[in-house]
Amino acid sequence: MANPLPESAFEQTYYLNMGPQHPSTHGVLRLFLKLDGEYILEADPVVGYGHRGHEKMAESHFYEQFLPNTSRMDYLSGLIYNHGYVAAVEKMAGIAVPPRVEYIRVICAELNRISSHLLWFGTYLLDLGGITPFLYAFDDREHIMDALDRITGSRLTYNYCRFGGVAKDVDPEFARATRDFIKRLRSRFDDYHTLVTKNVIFINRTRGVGVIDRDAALRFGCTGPVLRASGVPYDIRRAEPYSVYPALNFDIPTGAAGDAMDRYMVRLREMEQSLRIIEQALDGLPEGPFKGRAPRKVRPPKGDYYFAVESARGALGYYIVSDGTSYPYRLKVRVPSFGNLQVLTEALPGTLVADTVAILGSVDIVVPEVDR
Amino acid sequence: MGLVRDVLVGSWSLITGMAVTIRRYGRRNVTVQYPRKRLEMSPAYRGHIELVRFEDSGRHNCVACGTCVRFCPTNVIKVQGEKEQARSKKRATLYFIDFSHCSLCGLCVANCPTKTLKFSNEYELAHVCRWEGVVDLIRRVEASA
Amino acid sequence: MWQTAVDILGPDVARLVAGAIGLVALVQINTLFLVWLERKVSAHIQLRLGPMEVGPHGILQTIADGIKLLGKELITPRHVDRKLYVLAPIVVFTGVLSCLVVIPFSKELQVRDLDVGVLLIFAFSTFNVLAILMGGWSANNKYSLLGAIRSVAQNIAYEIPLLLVVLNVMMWTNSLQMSIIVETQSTIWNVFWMPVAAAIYLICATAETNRAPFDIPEAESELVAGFHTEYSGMRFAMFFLAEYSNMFIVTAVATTLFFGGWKSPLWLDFLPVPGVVWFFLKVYALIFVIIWVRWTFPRLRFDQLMNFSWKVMIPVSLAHLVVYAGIIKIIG
Repeated sequence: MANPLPESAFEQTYYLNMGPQHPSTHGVLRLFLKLDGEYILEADPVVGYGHRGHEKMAESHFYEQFLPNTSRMDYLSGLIYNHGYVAAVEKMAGIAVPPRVEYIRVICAELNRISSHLLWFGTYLLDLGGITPFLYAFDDREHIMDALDRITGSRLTYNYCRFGGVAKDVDPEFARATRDFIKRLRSRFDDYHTLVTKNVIFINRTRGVGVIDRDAALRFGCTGPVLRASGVPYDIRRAEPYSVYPALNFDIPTGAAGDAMDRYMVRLREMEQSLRIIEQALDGLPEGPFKGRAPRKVRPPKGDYYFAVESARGALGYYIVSDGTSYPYRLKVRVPSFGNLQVLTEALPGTLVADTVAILGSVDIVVPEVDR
Repeated sequence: MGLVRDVLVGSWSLITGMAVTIRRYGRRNVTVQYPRKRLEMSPAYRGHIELVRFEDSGRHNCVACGTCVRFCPTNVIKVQGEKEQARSKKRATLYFIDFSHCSLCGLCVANCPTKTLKFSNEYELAHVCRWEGVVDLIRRVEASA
Repeated sequence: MWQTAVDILGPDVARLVAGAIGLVALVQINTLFLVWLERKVSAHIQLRLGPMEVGPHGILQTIADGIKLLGKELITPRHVDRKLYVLAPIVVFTGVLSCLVVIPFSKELQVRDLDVGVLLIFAFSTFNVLAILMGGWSANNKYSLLGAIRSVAQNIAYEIPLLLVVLNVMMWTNSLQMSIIVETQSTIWNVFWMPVAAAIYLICATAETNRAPFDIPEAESELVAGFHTEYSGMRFAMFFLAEYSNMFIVTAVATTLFFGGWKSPLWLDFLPVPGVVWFFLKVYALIFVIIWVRWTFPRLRFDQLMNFSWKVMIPVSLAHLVVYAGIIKIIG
């Protein structure tokens, strides 16, 4: 990073540190801004304040022992991280998965996606100053967490998927609770649209703010709602299909302008599509075992493997290099927030400082997953 | 004319937004006044590990094999056992788990050969001293007689 | 006792002293009540309960908070401008008390019925702006200064439409005296035939008191922590008191100018309810609306806030003035 002292005594610009401790940066993110009055000239995100060494931990643990770590990397999409890891190892070791398990994993992943987007919705509005929708979103999330609590036993760090299956079977009570939740959330969307989407103050804060054009998004490796709002309909569930997604009907919402309003609308519409997926999966849930045959200690053959899933923030990939033992040689996680964060170096310059929070919130970064 | 329309549409959106909030005003609140009222945990809730007391023998079945110790990612389990008589399986006499480091992964529960571990429903485990997080499971299972 | 006071001091001064004591008491009790009301209303809007522990349904919570603030150390940082730092909370409180002198709580309950009552209120309410600037400047902290400057700009920008709509009422009643304004509303309240003026007044009043959605200067803003960062303990409590009392004053003025003051609605005239009760009911209903608005909307960005005032509010209120001048000429 450049020397942060001003070049001359008559320098008009000054440096501002939106430091690691800040109420609106969604984690320990440090944004080093070079300002000219109110306008941002340069923005430099500094990460690493939350590094916990997950990938190093993977090298000294068995494949099974790494499972709790996966939930903690991005605690908002814990089940999707679980799913990705388990599917990657199953691909490596050639473990067959019963069809019921695939459906259960898809239902849980989509519930997790909705829960993550609801939390994003609440915290985004909290950053913009409207405190009430945060509590409404959390009230809806409680229902998801209660439903998932009944089968997984946890509310946040799920650790539900196992190699070849899931930890516990799904009972009809869960299906009933999920259907009730789907009905409830559908009726809630009207409230959210009236309270937030059509609100003139909100529209003025987000329309035209933080435009990320298609070219910049592709260059920086953005994925997920950020890329889709800029006009590229790329979704891992359709581009590199896995699990039972090829058999399910759903659309990929995209936006045109790539501003904060488009990202907001893409996420709300993704929630609606996730509800569709859950309904279809619940209707088509086959009977069968919930655990396949898997060895006690997985010992995959030598080689390197990559498996990508679509997390709430974008494309999540696990790259595992195995040397034939039951300890991975190298485990790398390709997290979506890393690329999404880097695009800020192009999206922030030229905007007002007061918009930083609006733009940062709309990109939906979870810093623990950037730092791992 | 465009400005007038914008102002009117904007004001209407504000008024409908206020209607949404006021409709929630009289609804039942969703919070629970802990600790005056407590919530029931679901049966699958993952509290700290405890030993199962089997009905037929009235005792736990831990043979101190050390599988849970080896599978634990954070090394929080400590087991010691001795044989009750020659040529029998060992029986655990000490079983400690340091719950302040346990990540509730469930690997110990899943891999126990005698299926003698299960999750409890305990969630009120705040303590002031670090060592109070260490739970003595043998004493706990004997106290639950 | 009242007779002895009148004998010793003379009727005017005795009334003033009694009024001053009453107003200070009103300010304290009003703040006590309003803090609790805000917490309860916001909690119920947000599907939760609010304070429930201290006293039945948390009524005594504010007293507990006040005791806590009283017990805090009055830290004066080293590099502040000491005179201004100490003076700012006092100035803001003085402005509040002075404004309350002319408000007609009922036909008899008015400390001083000046014939320039409205002018006095708007003059003394700018003490608020002065105190904010003093607080922000003296704190010797560039973020406090930034917050104070923004607050001053916002206050000045929103005072203009405020005064323009109040001019409408002045044109109709031909007087600045508060009690006469209430008397002219004995047949119909002003809000029913100038609703736009009342709406503009309420929006500008919300901006004047730095309440959401115009609360950039004081909320947990993105960069700055507001002009009262450097204040702790009782000095902070004074700013806090002044904010809630300001809310009371602007809604009291709105009630007097637009909602009929202490007069009961015509169809409820038969009820033996004293004017004071009607006055307070109306004031607290308006305060409820202000609190409701705070917890519903996100915040406006600062330049949007200023644009809204200069490009929307002022043209609308000017047009309103012209139109109503014509109507009043035709009617009266």
